[in-house]
Amino acid sequence: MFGWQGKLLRIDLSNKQSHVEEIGEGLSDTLGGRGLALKIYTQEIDAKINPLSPENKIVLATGPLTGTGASSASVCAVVTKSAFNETVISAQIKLHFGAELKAAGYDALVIEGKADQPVLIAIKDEEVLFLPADFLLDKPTDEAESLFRLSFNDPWVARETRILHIGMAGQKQSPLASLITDGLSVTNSVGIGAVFGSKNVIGIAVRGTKDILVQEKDIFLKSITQNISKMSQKLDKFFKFSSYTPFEYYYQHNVLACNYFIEPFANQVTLDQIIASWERQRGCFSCPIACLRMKNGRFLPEIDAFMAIGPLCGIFDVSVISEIYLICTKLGLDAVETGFLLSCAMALKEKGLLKEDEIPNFGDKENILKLLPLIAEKKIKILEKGAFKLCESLNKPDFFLGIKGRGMVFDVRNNHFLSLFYATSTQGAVYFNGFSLLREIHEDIPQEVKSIQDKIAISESLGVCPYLFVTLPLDEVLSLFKTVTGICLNEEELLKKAEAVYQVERNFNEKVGFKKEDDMLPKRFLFPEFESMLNTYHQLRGW
Amino acid sequence: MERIRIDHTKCTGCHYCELACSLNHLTVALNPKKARIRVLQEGTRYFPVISGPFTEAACNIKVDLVIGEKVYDFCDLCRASCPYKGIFKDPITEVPLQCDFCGIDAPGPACVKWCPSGALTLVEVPSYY
Repeated sequence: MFGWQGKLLRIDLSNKQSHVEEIGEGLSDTLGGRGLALKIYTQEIDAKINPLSPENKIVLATGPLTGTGASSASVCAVVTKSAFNETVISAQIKLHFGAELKAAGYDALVIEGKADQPVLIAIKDEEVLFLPADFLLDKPTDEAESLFRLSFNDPWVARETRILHIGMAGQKQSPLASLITDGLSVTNSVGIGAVFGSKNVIGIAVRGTKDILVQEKDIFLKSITQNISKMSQKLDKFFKFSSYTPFEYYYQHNVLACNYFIEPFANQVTLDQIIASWERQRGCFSCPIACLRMKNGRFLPEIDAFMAIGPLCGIFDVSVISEIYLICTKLGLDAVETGFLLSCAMALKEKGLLKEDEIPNFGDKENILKLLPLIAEKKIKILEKGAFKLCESLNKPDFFLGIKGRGMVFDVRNNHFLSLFYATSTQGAVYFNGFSLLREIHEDIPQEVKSIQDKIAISESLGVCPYLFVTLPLDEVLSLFKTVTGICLNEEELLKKAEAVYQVERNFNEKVGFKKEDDMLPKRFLFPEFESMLNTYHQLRGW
Repeated sequence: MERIRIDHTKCTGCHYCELACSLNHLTVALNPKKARIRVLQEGTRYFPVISGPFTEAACNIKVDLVIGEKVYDFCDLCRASCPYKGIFKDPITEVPLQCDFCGIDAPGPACVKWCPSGALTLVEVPSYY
């Protein structure tokens, strides 16, 4: 097969067995990645399942372009039912994991059952090992990673093995746990870490040495070299500012806020200060942009995580924010939701609704740092389930500023485009799903929202990083897809596949119990035009 | 004489050079594990290493070093970019792979052409030896 490998690896943890299934036929229906993983997951799992039960499954899938060298085609989708807010969730694993899984010869990986002991699944081409992982328990994620690499006999192999693992939060099955891959916290993976923990899977390590075939080598080569040079010109701004590209625009239009949206953001942290803290650029597999930023060998937060653990918690020192982010990564906590939870709890305390001494005041750096390990270990009962459950338990559901259980980190009253994005996302308020790359949109917002959501769905199905896809025209991607797989598709067919992705996610959420009304903004953020916008959007989707 | 200059401070670790090399030599397949240039990660830095000339014949017998009770593969310690190193061998056939500048009259090495960060550049240097 060209592009795809045509194989699915099914790992049964209960019996410690694995077998390979041929899935060559029909792969082009869902493309791969998010589409394929969703299809496999929703076919095999009932929506009413408890996400932490052994019957739940985790599906990982790469797209047809992943690992081929197509610009920034590195992502691998991981789909399961979220333990955080019960919706279906699909996170995109960046860096090198996806390409390595593809090189190992698999398009998809299904993990089912529950191991009796903590295990590490090691995949090396056809070989699948279940290694005891007791030595990695309760360790910070960076230490666990280096310990794991030390356990190899061959240092080259150790360097080239890619791992996806959970930290202490995941091992304790905290709903706030996220996944970590090679030191980078996986964006939007909150609620998946706990599912890994419930199955006793500490991590997955992959190394692959197989070929990935392409159909038309010459055209493929040419279009990639063209794309690389084109992209560095086109994405000049994104290259410079990474995910902070819209920061200035957001600041000028009052989209940023402090202290749980009580106070407006008054530029206490400037973009220049943030940029000054960056040291090096890192790229994912085959990415010409390299938008990840590092300092002292640690990844720095992206804009949503930065706002959640920084200004929303009343912290404006860039180095402190980086430190909190680093500790979140070490513990395996999702920085966005953890920051939002802290911010919400601090606001509740200020209002006198929460009396607990452990909860700090806004801007109290020392106590926040002390609190993080306690949250990961689930030592504080009221905070262990996130902001939504916290507000619910205090009988103040209107105090929660988010959608479908996920917190919002931007004040969307002043950005209608972003508000509709957040509201209609199938996974709750996820900034990554609402990435719009500085572009002012005032007209026909519902149509724009739908088209960008569809584009993101296509890119995640093909295995291309959504950050880039937003600026890439569809026809260029279609020609890349054709040269790799030899399959000719037109734009309409491609968009239909994307709509199907949203329909499948929507149907799953409906079965879980989410209704049309759950697409509503919280009362405090409502503005008059919103309802008509939402109605138009629902009509466009046919819901 | 043309040489590939490597600036590891610019390398972002995207592994494009490996892909370019493998696609050029395998014609229809991509496989970074069969590339003649490999990006090694040491801590937080990335070092592209090109499979250069073979080292002296005496070295190719492959020496194992014994320090204390442990046996070390000398190829892992050696800093030369010798094709005899484990990483430059084809993972299945174990044939050592060596950089050939993508052919003599080809339009330059593919890895340099693909490199988006400017870590790899082609430089003209005088030949003294």
